[in-house]
Amino acid sequence: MGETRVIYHLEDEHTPYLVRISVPAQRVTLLHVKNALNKHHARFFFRSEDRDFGVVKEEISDDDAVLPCDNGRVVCWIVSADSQIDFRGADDVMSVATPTSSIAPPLYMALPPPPQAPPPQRTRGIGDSRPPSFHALGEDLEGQAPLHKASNRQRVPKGGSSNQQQSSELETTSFCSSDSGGRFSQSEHSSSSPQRLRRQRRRHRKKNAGKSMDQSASSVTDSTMSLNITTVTLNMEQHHFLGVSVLGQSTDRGDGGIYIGSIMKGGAVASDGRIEPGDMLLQVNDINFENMTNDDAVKVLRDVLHAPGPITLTVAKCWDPSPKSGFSLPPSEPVRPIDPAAWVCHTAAMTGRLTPHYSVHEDTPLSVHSDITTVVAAMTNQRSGLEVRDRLWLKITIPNAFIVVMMEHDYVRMESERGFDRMVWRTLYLGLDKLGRWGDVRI
Amino acid sequence: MSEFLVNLLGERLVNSEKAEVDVQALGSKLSLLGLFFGCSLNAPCKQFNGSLCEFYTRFKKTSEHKDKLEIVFVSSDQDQKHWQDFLQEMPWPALPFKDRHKKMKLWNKYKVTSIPSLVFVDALTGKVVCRNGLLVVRDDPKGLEFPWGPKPFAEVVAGPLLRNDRQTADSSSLEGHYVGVYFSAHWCPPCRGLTRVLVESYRIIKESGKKFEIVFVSADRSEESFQQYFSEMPWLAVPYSDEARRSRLNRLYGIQGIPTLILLDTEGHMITRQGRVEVLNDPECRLFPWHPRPVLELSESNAVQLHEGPCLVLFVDAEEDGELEPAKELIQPIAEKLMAKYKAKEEEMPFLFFVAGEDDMTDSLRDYTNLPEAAPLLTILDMSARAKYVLDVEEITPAIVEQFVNDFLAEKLKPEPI
Repeated sequence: MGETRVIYHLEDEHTPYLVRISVPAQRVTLLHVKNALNKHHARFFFRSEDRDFGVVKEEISDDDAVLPCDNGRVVCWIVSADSQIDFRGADDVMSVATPTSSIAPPLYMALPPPPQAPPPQRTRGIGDSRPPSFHALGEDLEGQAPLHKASNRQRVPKGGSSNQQQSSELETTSFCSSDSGGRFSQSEHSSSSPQRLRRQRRRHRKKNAGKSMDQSASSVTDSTMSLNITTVTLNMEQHHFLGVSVLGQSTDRGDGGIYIGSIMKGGAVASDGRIEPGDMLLQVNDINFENMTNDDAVKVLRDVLHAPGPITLTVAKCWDPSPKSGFSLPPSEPVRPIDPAAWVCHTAAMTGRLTPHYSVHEDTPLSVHSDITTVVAAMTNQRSGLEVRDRLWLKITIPNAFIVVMMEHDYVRMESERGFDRMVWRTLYLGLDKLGRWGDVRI
Repeated sequence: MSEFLVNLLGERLVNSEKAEVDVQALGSKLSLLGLFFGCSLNAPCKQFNGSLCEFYTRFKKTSEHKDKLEIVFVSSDQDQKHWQDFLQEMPWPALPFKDRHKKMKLWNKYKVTSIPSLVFVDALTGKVVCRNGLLVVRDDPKGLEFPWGPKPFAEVVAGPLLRNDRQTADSSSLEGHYVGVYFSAHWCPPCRGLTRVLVESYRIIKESGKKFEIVFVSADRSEESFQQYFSEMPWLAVPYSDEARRSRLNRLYGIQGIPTLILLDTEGHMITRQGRVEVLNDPECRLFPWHPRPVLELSESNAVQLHEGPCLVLFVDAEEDGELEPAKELIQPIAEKLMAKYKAKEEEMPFLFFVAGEDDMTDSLRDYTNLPEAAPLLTILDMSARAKYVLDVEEITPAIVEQFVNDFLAEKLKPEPI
């Protein structure tokens, strides 16, 4: 390991570059990188980890500082010294060319130069030691800086309206009137009411791509279940598969139940019509899920499905306040399937290896025959290349979720006990652990 | 006399034989109108339609009140053929397809949130008599309890109540107490979450010496589930086996979703339906018994109310401390005046008043509703109708707010889509 691989992102570009420096990773410094890239007048942000917030971009300006690295690899972003770092991250700095980059900038944190003694090599394992309460914050990679307090925001007025010049004057006016409480007119109002709110300036806020609200815990408390409980018996003879995807919800206070994610055309559930996306599954045949963990509930469901005979499902409708009859992902959600072939080729070209570069266990390449938990662990890894972030679905924030559209291309033929071949979706089964992962199971 | 009906439904309705039904004539003999909200493409609606047909036919044949009730179908169908086909199955009239834009107004007026929905209203005044017609059809198939109107809480809850230590108490012991009627179930994860918080709040309120009791009305699916859930609760419950009483309590408060916590005062009158939001927002119970406040500060916990009907939201730029309070004080008198006016009419507020500062949630709300980037900004948001009314002016004064409010109520404002 006498060399360090440095992956660096240039300002606007989507694809990062790779350069090798023949200095062992434990000893590589900023100066080495500057020399290797011949960039001395730039700002360097290195991928690093904070114990509480997870992945951060650490700005290092001390040439002798040893760089945070991970398995012989250093990741950094290079920004020209003149450009203004917009802490909101979204519009101004990121170029239009990358609408949603898979490795989006996380928190910006400028740390002071490290002390003389070089820090120990940071190990990988993002998320392992993170306290659950920071889970939602740390995993957020889409520029949604949760550390923000209102005071941190830089207000850059667009277009410089004339209001701005008067702003200080107006501010004093409005505060004055609020202080002199006696001038409030409680009953009648007149057109010359002393109290007023003056337009101070046009706001300029960051535009959020997603509507990620708060941690999953309070989202569970905010949703409402309808009392409308429906029991549906499906004759599995006509339609050979159920045709649903099932989502499980987990919080640090325990499992929150399993829900219908989506309904596939041609399946038994779709043709019956009474079960809808978002419905919570309460019971299958005579097995009640009420006291089961989500893992167990899904196992039971699969076992029942593999046995012959009709299937009875009991669901509770979920509370959708808007008078639409269907559920859909928020329109801002970019569901773009990643072409696995192209992705693999790209990384192969970059690294000279055929296996995905960003796998958890570099020595055990993934393949179709890999154990499913390994595949999924690799997918949820922040470096997997998939957009892994907190997502809002049906008013429930799903931490650490990714769109599984790509897996639709990866199916496996299976002989079923019913004695006929059928194509089934590859089952993706995420271990639902206490940190609140969502599992997406297709049955 | 039946002006209200004409205002609500128009001059003519249509029935399955494509004949017109004159609303004036209809209104003259009716005392109760059942508004059936549904859509032909929705399987639960079709299923309910079947039960409703049975109920209706039997009622029209056997009940002594048969001429006093009529049902009108208000469709969410967008396709005329679908609408027509569904109407064929119905023995009652419907809102004409060409008048389907009226449906939104009806949805808002009666706070409909899901389909199928059946709301019984007084045919003369339009006041809601029973919000949960689905339960009526299920529990009273012979229609004996016409007009299924509200009864005093004490009457509906009358009977023995349980504690989880097997002791019983009579419902009369609730007299003089503030009561929280708690609709909940073990299978429902948000319910379990609320119960945990509620146990604490209950303890705090009792320890402060106030006369307060909670009555748990279970929506569990079995006696075992009920017992398991009730074992976590220090308060009273309606016995699970008394299904009729549980259902009547459900119907009394028009419960459609759980968890719901209704707060009643010492005389059994409802203080607020938003007990759940209040309890979650006020874990130390300082604001007990949570009389509705004229103006709320928009936060994650009460944002859910945005979906329940139109809300006036005054967005302010709260970066510098101190803009939120003046904003609140500015609109509070107007809110109070409106509250008093509607209380006198014994009607619910037409919309809620919020002030919203600056945080991630407010930002995403503004994004979602595509609001202009200005602060302060006066809006009325009607999420369920997907409409917004925006007043984007340089200066906001009480006069302007009041004008805005009055214009909205007089339907003079033009909605923009969200």
